[in-house]
Amino acid sequence: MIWLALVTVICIAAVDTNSLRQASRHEITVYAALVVLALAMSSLVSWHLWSDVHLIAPFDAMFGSMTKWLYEIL
Amino acid sequence: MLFKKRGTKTKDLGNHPERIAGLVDTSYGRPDEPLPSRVEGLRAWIEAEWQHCDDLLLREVDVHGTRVLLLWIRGMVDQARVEEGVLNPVSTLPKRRTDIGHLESVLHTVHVRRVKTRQELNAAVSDGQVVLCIDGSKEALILDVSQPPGRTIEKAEIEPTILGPQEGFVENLELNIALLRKRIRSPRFKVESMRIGVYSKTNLCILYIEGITKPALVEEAHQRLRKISIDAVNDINKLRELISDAPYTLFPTSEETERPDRVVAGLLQGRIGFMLDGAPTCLKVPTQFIHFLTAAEDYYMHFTLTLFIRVLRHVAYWASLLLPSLYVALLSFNQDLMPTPLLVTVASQHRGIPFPTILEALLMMGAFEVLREAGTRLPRAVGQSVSIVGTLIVGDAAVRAGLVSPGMVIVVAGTGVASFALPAYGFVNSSRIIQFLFVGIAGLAGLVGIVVFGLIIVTHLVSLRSFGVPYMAPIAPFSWQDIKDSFFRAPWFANTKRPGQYETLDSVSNRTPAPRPPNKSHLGEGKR
Amino acid sequence: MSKVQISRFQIILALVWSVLGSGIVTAPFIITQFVIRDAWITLILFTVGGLVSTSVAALFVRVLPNRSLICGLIDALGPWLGRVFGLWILVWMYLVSCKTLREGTSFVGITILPQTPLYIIAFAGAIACSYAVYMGAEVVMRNGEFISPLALIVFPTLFALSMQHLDVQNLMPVLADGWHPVLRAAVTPDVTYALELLIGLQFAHMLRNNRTLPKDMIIVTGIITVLGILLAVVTVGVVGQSAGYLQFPILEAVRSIRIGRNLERLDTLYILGVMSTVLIKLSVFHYAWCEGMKDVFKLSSHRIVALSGGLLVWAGSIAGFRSQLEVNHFMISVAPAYFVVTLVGIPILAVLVMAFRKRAKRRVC
Repeated sequence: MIWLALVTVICIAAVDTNSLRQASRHEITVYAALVVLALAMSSLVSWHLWSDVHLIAPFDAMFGSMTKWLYEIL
Repeated sequence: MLFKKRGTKTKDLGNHPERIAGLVDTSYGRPDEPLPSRVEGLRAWIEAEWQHCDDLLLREVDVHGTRVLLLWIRGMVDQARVEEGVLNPVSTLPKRRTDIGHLESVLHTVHVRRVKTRQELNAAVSDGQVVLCIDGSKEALILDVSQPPGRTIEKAEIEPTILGPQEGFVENLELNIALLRKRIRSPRFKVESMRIGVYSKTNLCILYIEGITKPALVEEAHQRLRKISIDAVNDINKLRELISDAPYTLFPTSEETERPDRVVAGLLQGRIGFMLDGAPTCLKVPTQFIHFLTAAEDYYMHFTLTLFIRVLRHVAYWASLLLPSLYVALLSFNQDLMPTPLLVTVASQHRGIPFPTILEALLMMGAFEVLREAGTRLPRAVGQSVSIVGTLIVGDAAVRAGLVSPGMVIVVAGTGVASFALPAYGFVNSSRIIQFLFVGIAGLAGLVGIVVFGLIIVTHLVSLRSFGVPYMAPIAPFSWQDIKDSFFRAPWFANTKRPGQYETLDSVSNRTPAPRPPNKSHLGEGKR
Repeated sequence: MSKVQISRFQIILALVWSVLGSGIVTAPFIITQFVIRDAWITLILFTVGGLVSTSVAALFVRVLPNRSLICGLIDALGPWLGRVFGLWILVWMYLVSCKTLREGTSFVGITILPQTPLYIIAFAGAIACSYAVYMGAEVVMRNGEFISPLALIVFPTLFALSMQHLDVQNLMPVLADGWHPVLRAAVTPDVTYALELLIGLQFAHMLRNNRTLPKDMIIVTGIITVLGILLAVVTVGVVGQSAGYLQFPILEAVRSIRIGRNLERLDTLYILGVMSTVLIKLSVFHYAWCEGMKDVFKLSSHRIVALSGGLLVWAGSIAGFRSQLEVNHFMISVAPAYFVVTLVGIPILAVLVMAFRKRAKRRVC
């Protein structure tokens, strides 16, 4: 998956070349952050680290009990 | 300074149209300079300007002591009219003082106008008109006796129909415009002329109907045409590429037709047309996807029949696009979709074929395209033989040799036949290319690949516009008013409005009430 | 560049597919975990969720007209607090996109491409959606318009054909286990999916008249309720009690269709249809996310993040939801409260603050 992600990053950078040339610094920062996040997630999957990392866990912790309460009152 | 722009030594004069005109147009940088008043000076200038142009004929006539110079290009004029309408009246003038006004009144059998500048003189000679200069006058007479070589009106060959008018455009712009004028006898039918092409100076006409067509559309056309600065525009395709909305798409965003009746129908819908001298077709804009699946004949038969034919054509289009890829997907990935008896038959046919299905499909489709191309390029009699040899003999031999399966031959032949059912030639060509892409995707990802790639194609289609009008209208964006002439054709009495997408000035095209059963008291019941 | 405008018809179709797109995949499984015979009653209650969403939307467009959801938050709550809440909404949109892509990927992977790695299937979907989003809102909406007539042919046909195996006894007796299981089953479809309708707020400023959005949402609620009830009746009627053990009960109902000896396995047609609608939903949410990013980070165009964001959705769909079970867990155990807080709490907060500010301004004047 990481290889596919890397190739895609190169391809979308090529497609976005014109937009990026005209983009301001903070736009490029946002763009780069998204790409880095995507690569990080791809590497989690590729290197089998994802079984230890539960990305949805914070939401589970925040809203799990509230939802449970909702089911209980019904 | 001029030539160093963009860091290149190329002589780019694109931003200096007046300079281009000065260099190539007419008079070596003095296009608006008046003509010399003496015939000797004029002759010397013409001989210098038209040096090495042996088709230019110069003839000097003495009319009662006044020198008259006539010039024209051989082959571009009607020789008989030159003799009868120009030379005879000039040589038989009554004896009196000859001036340009007198000559203008005498030469009444041809259309005459006056010019003052060298550029106008050169343009008239190039157009095949006779120029008459008289000694002592700073003006020249242009005598319209042009008859450039060309064919007469013939039957439309690319868009033939069984019913309806048969005339097709020819390479003569004036004749083509006359064919349209014959069908729209109204001063509201506007024909705006302009010249494009730095060297070719081709006559181009923008056609529209005032009071129907949105003025912004005409202005947009003018703007796009004004940007053109190219050596020559001799073909409608060059014009199409130069003014296109989406230059890189495979799908045509303008419609080309050789039928005057189709152009008239388009103009009455609120569209505009471009016609070019030397091109036997008209370019219509804006254009939608749906236009390429309608034929002229749809309007010449009963609307109930049109429904069937149009649905058939839509099926044929999607079949021409998807049939080989669906076959490849079914055989390579989704065998479970096939009924068991059919699967057994197809699998047994495929046994012993040395290629995987995708390669087999690509080979067959490639061979079919080569045969189609050969059949088109060769003379008609030979072309038909090639098609027959290709389809019957080579196909049969390939199956017998075990190179391809009979199923694949049927699928590829079916795809070809489906594409022949489509009325627009340019549109068919785009589907010929896209079907290869679909086959490649089907070989990689089966039906899922076809759906995903199909969605990408749909996305591309809905993103296209033709002169500001969405390409996939009236499907997306949906318009009930416009759908009446898309997958089906509503009867004429129900088709009362022009397509809403064109934002016409007059939206109503038909005010005829729907027909009702005859009034018995008026007509009687007839004999039993 | 002219202002993008979308029609009422387009927003109605987009919202219908935004709920049904993945709802048709996951909701039946979730409902049948609580109730089978009375599944159709849970979908009648969709009207309640739909009306709650409509009320929130009505308040929002009344107090913050001609603004998208995130623009409205920034205007009402101020540039800093508004952006913080905007980011929260962006995370929600991103999670829904990832979840949707994961649902579609699992559906296709389990049913027709079991040998293909899931990330490849997800990648194909992400590319198709990112391209549509890159081309703009009009294209996303037109895609929905284009798909709808095809869906109108395929789905009713399959529905009608599967009716031949319908056994009404599978739906009897009604409410035998009381209202509690029905109400619990209704939580996910009637709260979570119904609140997803509020994605329409992100497109409010593109509508010719954004005051019509609540009316359109009522129409959408009606359409989805009717379709949902029909689907539930047919699925339970055909599949019966075994629906409780199936991951995709509707698929099983379609799989039962057999006409003569040759016409069978129409489920692939259904899968392809569902795939298209999932991609429409994904495009709608991804576009909404890109527009939101544009507002929060002051980007010049949504295009800057359309492709890179698509890549992030693709990666997140696999890394965030490790299996279909996790998607189901998220939808049953996390999403209801999360969606209520995000889609009811935050917009209402913005509406109240804006109303208070307007009143304060009037008093000063």
